[in-house]
Amino acid sequence: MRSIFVVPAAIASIVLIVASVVLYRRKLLSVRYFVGWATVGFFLGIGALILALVNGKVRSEVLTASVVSTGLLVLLGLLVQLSISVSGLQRQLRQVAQAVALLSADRQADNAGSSD
Amino acid sequence: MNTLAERVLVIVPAFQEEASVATVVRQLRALSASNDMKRFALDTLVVDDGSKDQTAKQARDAGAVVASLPVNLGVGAALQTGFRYAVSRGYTTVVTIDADGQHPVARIPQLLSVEVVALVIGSRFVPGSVAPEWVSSTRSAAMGVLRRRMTQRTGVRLYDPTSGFRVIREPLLTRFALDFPATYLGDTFEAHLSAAAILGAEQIVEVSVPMKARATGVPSSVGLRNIAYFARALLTTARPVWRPLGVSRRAFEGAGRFCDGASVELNENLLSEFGLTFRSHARDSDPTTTQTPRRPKGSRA
Repeated sequence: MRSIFVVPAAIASIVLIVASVVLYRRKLLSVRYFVGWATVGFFLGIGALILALVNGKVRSEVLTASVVSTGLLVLLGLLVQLSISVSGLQRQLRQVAQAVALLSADRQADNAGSSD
Repeated sequence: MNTLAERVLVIVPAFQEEASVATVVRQLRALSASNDMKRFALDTLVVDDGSKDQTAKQARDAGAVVASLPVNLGVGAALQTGFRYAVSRGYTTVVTIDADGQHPVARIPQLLSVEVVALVIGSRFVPGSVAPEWVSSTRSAAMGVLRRRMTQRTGVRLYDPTSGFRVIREPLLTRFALDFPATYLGDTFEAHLSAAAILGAEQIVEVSVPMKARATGVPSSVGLRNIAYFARALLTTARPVWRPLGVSRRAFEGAGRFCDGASVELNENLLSEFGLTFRSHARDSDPTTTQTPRRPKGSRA
């Protein structure tokens, strides 16, 4: 029996790689996420290849469960990574905003001091 | 001004408080000039937490130095901005007070009169004080839960762990400048919990202070949001999750940018307490050294 995942996985692989290249070239994606998504696309392609090779040799339920659970794990990993990234950005935003506020307060205090 | 007086910075975090902030600043200036404050030189810093109204202008016109955050970061981040300002300007004592007029400015000398300790909390519920009528029974019950959490975790009993009217001195001030929760309740309950864990009961004193209900503006927490804040405070201080403020390696990142001079020396001492060391990138002669911490191999952050 031919696995139902081979063709969609192959298409998703190509779409992901092309999309990440296009988005990176348009500066909509940082190099870090371009590399990340391109790597995911690459491994998706490898997965599609493996699926094509093991077709008929493994029971379809086992194959389905393996593909779905691997996909979920990859997505969860990406979500965790994105959460860490967003948390870091929040921390950096906080630092920048505080630095701006401190700068203005320092200037005001120095001006007040020099006019005394 | 008395040049021998101890310099004290009053930090007033403010968000959308145009109706009351100027009054608070004027009261602070009047207090600063009064005989009650002969031993102290009081300066005022209003930290405008990204208000869209005239809060910053009102505060500035009333005579305060204003640090304006370009975006709303939360009361804790506003307070931390004030702590960083204090440390970078050499203050070793700060007073935190709300901009809505709830905290009685006239009681600041009473809080400052308790010396030596690092944290003096103006408390609504110390035995003998009259609990304010405007605190609902639900809120009182929630406060009871927080009180129990405080005692379980640190052995310290605080009657009013969520009061934002307090005096903070070194070494707590630098710690808070490095690491302070941005969120509501984090700025009081979690901060006090850390103070209790790090410094012990003998460094914390509660003083009975009557407080008024907010007269103007919008409270930070109402209804469901209140419940969410309460649940979050319980979660972030649960045993497997909680860690005292100012002890993580991350907290020391950027320390050199905000805490220079003498404070960096203090930070080095703090770091060594936790097995951390500074790695200097700049020449010894450079007074504006930016230092980043590095955890020695095998040590715990």
